[in-house]
Amino acid sequence: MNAWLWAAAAVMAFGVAPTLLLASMGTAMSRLVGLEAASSLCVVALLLLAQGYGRTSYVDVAVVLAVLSFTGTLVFVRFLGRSL
Amino acid sequence: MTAIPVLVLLWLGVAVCVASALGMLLLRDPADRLHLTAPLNTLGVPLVAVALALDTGWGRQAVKIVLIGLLLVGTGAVLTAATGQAMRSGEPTGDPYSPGQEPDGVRH
Repeated sequence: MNAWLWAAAAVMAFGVAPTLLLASMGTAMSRLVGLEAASSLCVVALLLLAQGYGRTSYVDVAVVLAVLSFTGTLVFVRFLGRSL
Repeated sequence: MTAIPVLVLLWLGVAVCVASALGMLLLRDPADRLHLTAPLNTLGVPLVAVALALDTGWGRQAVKIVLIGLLLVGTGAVLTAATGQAMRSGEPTGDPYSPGQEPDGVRH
């Protein structure tokens, strides 16, 4: 394992896992905040995994996730806020 | 072998990401948790992106990684503002005609 894979493991274990926990409990707004943080951390983890395994084409997955998570979260905000 | 400055940037970014995520677990109020998405998106993600770009070397791949970092910085700010506004509109204000408050005073 190289430094990139260790970093990806740290982000997934201590970053993505706690935010996924937040995204699965509490009020709707609290879960939405957890989802926002989890999506950003997933993009970081995907970038680190792509570098760690030397597969540069995997970066495209991170690009797609970054764009889709933005629009998806905006839809949730629209439904929960009712005023945007 | 990865260069030392790249490793420093990488682990600084990872530390910011992990601290933000664990801090969210400790805080109870959703608005307080929302504050912690700021260091995550504006500090943690760019640090990791710069480390990745430096390690990749100048080229199309590095530009793509930096653009992903910039995309997350921009969208993170927009999402935080939108979520904060949605939180505020959902709070009871006492005004029966304010957003998030039904005229009969019952919140759904």
